[in-house]
Amino acid sequence: MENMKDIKNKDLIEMYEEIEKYNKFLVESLENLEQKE
Amino acid sequence: MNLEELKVLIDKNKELCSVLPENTILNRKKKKEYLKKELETFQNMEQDILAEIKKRYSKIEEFKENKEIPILKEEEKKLTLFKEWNPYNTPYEKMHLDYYLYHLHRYYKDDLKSVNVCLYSLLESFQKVGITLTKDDFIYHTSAMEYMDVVINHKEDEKIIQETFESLYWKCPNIITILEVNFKYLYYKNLKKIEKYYVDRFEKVTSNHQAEQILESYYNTIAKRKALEAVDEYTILQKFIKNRVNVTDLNQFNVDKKKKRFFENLPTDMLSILEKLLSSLEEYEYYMNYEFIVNDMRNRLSNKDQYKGKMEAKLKEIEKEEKTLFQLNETQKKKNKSFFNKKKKDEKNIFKIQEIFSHLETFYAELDDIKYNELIYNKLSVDISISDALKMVSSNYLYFVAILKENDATKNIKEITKKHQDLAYFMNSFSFTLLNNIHLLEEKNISEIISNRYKLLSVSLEISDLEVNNLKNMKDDINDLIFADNLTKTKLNVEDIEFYLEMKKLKILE
Repeated sequence: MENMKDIKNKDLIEMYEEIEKYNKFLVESLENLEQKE
Repeated sequence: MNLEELKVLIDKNKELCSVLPENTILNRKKKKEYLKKELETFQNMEQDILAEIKKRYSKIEEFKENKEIPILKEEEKKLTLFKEWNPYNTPYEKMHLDYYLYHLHRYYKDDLKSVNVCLYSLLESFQKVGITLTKDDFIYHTSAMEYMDVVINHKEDEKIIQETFESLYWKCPNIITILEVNFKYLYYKNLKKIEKYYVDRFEKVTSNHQAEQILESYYNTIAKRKALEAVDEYTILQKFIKNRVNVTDLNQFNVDKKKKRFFENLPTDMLSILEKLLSSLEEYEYYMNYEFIVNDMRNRLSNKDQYKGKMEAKLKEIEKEEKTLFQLNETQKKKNKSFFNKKKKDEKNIFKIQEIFSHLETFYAELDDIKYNELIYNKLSVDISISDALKMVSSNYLYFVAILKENDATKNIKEITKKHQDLAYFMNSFSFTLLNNIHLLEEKNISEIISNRYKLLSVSLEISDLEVNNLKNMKDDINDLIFADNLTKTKLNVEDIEFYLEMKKLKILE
């Protein structure tokens, strides 16, 4: 990611949390898919 | 990408993911590849953001305390030696005998370990002024002598000390009280030598520096240290970490609200006015908290002529009783050695010794108050200021304990000792502007003086604002305003501090 300098601290933490949640979702989706096979 | 854009992107990708077909092996393979790629992209993004968070956190975490601050603190400690020539201390307080003997009395029924710690502190206090006490100094009672022999000569052997105490206790249950009074006797017996020690020390120190110079240097060091701490990033952060300051109190909305509470129109020298006001309120708060003491001091000072010669008379009374006690002790010793000792006569002698000891215990207890009044007689003039009267109070632990207990019997000694330390520090480190200008014997409306003074500086301050229950809130608000102003002079801002504190709580960086 580029240009993070202008992102406020609060937003940066929230972005981190959003991405963390999304990555969890992706991992679970992958696991579900593997189970189906 | 900003937060909103990220949220939109994630929602869009989630939706896309939900519509991707999984019905055939090929579709599932394609979806799997998509998910893996997506995961890789966002894991990288997560790492990038984490690196940025760490970078910002480290930048704040790396703040170190200004190197001059600990040096000034050390200097401050050294300069506190001026307390030794506090005019309101007698050598009794300088040696901390007031504190140790009070606690020895208190620990009497508590635990032997604390009793012994007190005894060693007392021995050290005498040692420091050049008097090495031996068992032979404890002539009040043979049991006291026997116990001090073990305490002095078997310091490392707790078992022997414990066993000796237990065996002596049954013969002489008031052994600790006897020791307490015996120490008082030793103090007065050696008073001239002790006084000389402090005079010599004072002369030695002041041979190179004037006493006033040292005092001035002490106040300057405190002021310099406080000024540095006020704009020191590390010190500021510690205040937040230790919850002494709240971030919410410092946001712009609250700061503006607080400014309006004090000023209708903001003056250009707002900070200087607030600092003065805070200082006045601090003095005033101490005055309000200890108004009952100020009143007692006022009464004592009004009657100061009655105290003349009382101490000398009491000491003579004590000396006479002690002479009788020591004679009786000698007789008892001889009788103990004598083969033909008659039990009946023995009991009479022992009873007499106990009776005289009981008188001496009372006399010495009375002497504490007489000594304090004697100090008032010798040191306080009728035009003494309230701050000097409180300085005298803070210099006398026994008086402080007695009057606080009289005022509130529920207060325990730990609380009282803490209050005493706090008052003593305040009285020794604060530069007074209000209480040093009001005479103890004057009846003045101090809240009115403060209110009028600050109204002249355009501060909205009514007498009703100065009720004791409002003082803490008002002081907190002023402190926040001064703190917020100082913050603008640093490399920190409220947003960074908020972020730093949140990061400390969250486990992201672990």
